[in-house]
Amino acid sequence: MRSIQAIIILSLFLSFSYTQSFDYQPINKKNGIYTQYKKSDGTIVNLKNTFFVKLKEVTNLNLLLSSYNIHIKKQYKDNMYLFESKERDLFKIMKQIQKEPYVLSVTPNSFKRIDIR
Amino acid sequence: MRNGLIIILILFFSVSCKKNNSISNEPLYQEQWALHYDKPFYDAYDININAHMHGEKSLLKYSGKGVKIAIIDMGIEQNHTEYTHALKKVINSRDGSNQITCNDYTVCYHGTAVTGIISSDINGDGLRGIAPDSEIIFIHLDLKGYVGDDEILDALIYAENENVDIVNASWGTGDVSPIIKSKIESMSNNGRNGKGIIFVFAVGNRGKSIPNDESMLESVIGVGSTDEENLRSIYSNFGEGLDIMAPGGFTLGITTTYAFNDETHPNPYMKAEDYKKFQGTSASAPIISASIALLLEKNPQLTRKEIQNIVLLSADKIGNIEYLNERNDYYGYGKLNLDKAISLL
Repeated sequence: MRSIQAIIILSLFLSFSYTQSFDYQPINKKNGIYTQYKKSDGTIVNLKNTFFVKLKEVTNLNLLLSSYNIHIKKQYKDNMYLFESKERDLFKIMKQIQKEPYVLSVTPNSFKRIDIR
Repeated sequence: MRNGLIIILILFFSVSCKKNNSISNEPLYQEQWALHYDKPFYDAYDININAHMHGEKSLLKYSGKGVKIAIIDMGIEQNHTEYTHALKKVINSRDGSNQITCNDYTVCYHGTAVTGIISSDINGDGLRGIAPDSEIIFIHLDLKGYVGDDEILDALIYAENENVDIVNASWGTGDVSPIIKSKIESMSNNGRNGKGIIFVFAVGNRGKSIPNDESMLESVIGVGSTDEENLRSIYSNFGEGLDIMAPGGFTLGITTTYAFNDETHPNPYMKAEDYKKFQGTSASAPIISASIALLLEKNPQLTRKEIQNIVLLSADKIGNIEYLNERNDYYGYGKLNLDKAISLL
């Protein structure tokens, strides 16, 4: 019984942290695509028009590509891809892809200024 | 028979003496105050007697042989005679090619200086690197503008594919992404055939604490800078990510190599008191990376966690801030003491 409760609490926690990770508001766009987002804590994130997706082993990749009008920019090992999209609001499409049963994780590709030290 | 023995002994001593003298014969060794105590130089510049890294015994015995270090940085003067022996490969992380242009000071200065601290040759010319026999894989990352997570990830993957032991990063983002965090953690746990790659990051020079920096990752060694008074350099960042200190200078810089295709500078070295001196946590990080190379030369089987423990727990508790459970936020676990670290192996 306790283990079931623990699983429920863990699931709730994970779903909460997942929701938080995409709690960004689009604020600036370039060439019609939002590139700058504001996090819930007020910090600004700059995004490229690409994002990382890690898939489960058995996946119909073509279905994913056609469903979301995205294409592969780079393939890494362990079923990880860098996808490119022309979607106006990238976070919106990332949220949708994250819900697919064959997707393990979706991570934005942000760009930032490096501090040379 | 007896004469033969005497000749062998003479040869043995002449070889030993040559090795020892060869370090002090480097023309700029005297002013490498971060590496060793030299009374005339220390007196002339009013340097605290303990400002160096306490590694002279180790420098006589070890040189980083058999250890591979990835330097992820901007640009490098590939033809600098101080480290052409050590520079095994350059990789442009943008396309995987070996094409790195070095056509102006701002591009080449930083990576050239970092590489010189680690691998300057003992050749009777210039200075001595801390790990001159280590192998350097230089991975170019365009640090001048904005950099994407995919570009940083590519640089890390190139380092991983080259089977490096240590990654030196004299930079940081202050905003480490989940994908980069995950990659660093994976490499530092699974790299080196499961022993773990050692990541060394500079903590930065803004005199403040930076949240969510690469240096804050548990598996990363975050390096701060000490000055000539053997105290934290006033610019050196502090906080949770800080693990250890190494000389980075304040009034004096760290003597190292210069990208000498720049006509505005008179020679291929930046001297300690030079107007284009190299100082900051960028200089401190390669001192730690190279010192770790000496530890790995002595015992290549050490895991990443063992290296972290040895380096941090052998550090000298400097400064006037109390250490709780061996550390504080301004000095981490203290300042590098290389000889003490080596003696623990």
